[in-house]
Amino acid sequence: MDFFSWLAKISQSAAPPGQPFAARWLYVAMALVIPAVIGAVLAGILRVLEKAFGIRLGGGSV
Amino acid sequence: MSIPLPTASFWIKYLHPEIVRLAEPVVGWFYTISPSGELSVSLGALTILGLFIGLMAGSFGVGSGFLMTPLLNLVGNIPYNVAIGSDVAHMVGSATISQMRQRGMGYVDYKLGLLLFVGSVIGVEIGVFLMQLLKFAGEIAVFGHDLSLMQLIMTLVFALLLGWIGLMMYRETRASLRMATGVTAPEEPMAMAGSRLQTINLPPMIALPVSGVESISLWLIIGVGLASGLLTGFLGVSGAFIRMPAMIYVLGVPTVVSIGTNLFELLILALYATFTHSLAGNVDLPLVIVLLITTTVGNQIGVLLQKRLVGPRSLQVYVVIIFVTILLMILKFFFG
Repeated sequence: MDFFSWLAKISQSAAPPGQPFAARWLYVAMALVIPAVIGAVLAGILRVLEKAFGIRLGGGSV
Repeated sequence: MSIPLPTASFWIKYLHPEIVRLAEPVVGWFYTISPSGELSVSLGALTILGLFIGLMAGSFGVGSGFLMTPLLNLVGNIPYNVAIGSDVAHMVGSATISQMRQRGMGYVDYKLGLLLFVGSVIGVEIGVFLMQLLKFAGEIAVFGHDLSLMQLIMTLVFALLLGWIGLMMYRETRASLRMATGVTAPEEPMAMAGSRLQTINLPPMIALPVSGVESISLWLIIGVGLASGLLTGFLGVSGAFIRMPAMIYVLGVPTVVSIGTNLFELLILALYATFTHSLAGNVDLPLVIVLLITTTVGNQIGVLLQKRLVGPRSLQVYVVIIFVTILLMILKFFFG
């Protein structure tokens, strides 16, 4: 859960309360990096599963 | 078990300040809003939703991004701007998987992809700008109730989009069933419109050697990119259902090149749209992680079950799901 707490922390607005959202640079960077890294890991897992079980799996859900 | 959604909570508190003055938490079927305005959504419900969306995409071969956003709003009471931004960020992961999995399976016309991207940047910027306008548009009185203008407009837009997709799919299933009985299908309207658009000679004209296109107006390519970018920026859908047929019928790109180029364009488009949406605070990172993992698993189940599930009759089930979603959206809108 520490990871999710960290995500919650970096997702907080940098603006004072009542003001519109002001993004922190780490939040913007993680919005790009996290899905790309998880996507790469999942693609690797799918490749391993295909080799292990001799099946053909699909790609991403797009 | 529930998962707190920090960005969604921010917007709930910002857009509905009355919520943080409540003495009791707001409890829905699958979500809770604490008296301090923190939104938590059932992890089980999000998992089932992700598996379902992935299963649909994997088994029917059609992207289900257009179902994701309204269902996130329906199930988790997640504001539309966050549902859209998170869906776009989820697309970065999905496009990465598809790019890595299908590398070498299709040719990529990088020149075309980058030109499409130029149009997409404009489309994404317009889409996110429209979303920002709606976000801060306040409330409107409908039948004596104060309703968020963003909720009203997005419910209408998604209901119309889903209705159109549902009708197209219904027509397709009917055509498939008729073809099975020996009746030939008429020429597709997209193909006819595409042939007419190809005759536009508005300069500058450019060549696409990889795609075997000798001369095509740059504005047509920018226009296709703009349309798909607008759909991604405003609605959080990949826009492939516009981009793929447009590349084939309007730009005259061979199918094998269009597949690879579409995936390339999708990845850079999703990255740019995520960047823009995150600057506006529309991406909820825990939600993106849950959706990415569950839709990918669902997609694999869908692929494995594809041969048993898919056929004109099962596509009709998909059509029913689309219209049930529209009905639920309307019910939520009027009855909360």
